[in-house]
Amino acid sequence: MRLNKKAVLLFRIFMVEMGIVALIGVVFYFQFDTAKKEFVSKTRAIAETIGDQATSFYEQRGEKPTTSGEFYLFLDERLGREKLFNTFGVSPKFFSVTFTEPRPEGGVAAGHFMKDSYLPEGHSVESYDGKISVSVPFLAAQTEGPLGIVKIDSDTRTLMKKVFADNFLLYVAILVVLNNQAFILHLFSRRKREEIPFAGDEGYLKEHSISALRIMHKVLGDIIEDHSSEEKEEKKSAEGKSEDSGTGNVISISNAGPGVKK
Amino acid sequence: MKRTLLAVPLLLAVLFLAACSGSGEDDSLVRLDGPILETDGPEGGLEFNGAVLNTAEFPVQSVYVVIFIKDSRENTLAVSSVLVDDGAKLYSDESAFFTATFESLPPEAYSREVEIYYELAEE
Repeated sequence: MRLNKKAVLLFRIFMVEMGIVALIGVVFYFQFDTAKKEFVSKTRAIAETIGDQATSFYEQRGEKPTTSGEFYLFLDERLGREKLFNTFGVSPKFFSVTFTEPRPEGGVAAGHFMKDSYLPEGHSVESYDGKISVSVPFLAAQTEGPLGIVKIDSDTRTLMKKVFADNFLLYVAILVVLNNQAFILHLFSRRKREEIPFAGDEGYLKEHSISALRIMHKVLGDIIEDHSSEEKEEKKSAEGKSEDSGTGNVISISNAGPGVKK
Repeated sequence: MKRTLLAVPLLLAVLFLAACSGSGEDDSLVRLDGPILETDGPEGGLEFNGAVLNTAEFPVQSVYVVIFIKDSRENTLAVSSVLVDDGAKLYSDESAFFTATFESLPPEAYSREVEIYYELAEE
């Protein structure tokens, strides 16, 4: 019976904790969603900046043989790596710049050339398996279509961890406050339960307690009965003695009270 | 007893949150200095350009950057490693460029991963 009550209590605690964690999860989900939207818009802005730099690089060195390493150093010189990608403190590990064919004025841009590349008309955002891929095409003045595309792949798990770490104290505060509320509610419900009538099927008197009281009642009843029968016998014997002696005015001191106390 | 029962799940929940908040980031002393630029090479190959930064307070040497190309099941399809600056010493807060190349990109390629290895150098 006691074990059953403990199991019920544990189950209730577990359910309450699950409810609180679910609520924190909902808060986290909305925060992460907001952060993701902001992250995508910033990444898009970064991709556009890189695209502009790629156009500039192409215009400056497009006619000469160049390498991707040179382009990387060009980006580093113009923008700086850490500053450029320090969006939310979550830096993507990889980004790519690809150019379409044909290139303007037949310039050779070896090292960052891609055949048959599929270029979307505007920017595109793909989300798959914990990754966000933002692709932004960039244009050049001389060309009709897009000159190339900048693609930045970011890990959403890193962003998720960042949002969680930044809001950790808030989650702990929610957890503690809601646990306190749950505990107070538990105390209130316990006090109400104590006001249940003393006896009854669900009262405080258990079955064995009632049985014990019944036994005691029976024992006390027997004692009282024995006592009253003794008194009757004594009365009868006293009446018999008085009839035998003929002196009806004699009072026996021994039967008058419980005895002299010191 | 009941108070203890109520306190234990709260403690466990806080510990769970604390465990989740662990950054889990790579705690290597030599790390990437910005993202890696991925481009298609002149002959259909793949080139990776990036930089590494020594965040330690002491110099390191023989810094290797290893790039893995993996499929959707996390199986490694191709690996390329490059010795940064021919294994020269990389002093504290110093960064160095690297270029890694692949002959071709496997059609099942899905993700890229990078790992950095180094040795401690005597000052």
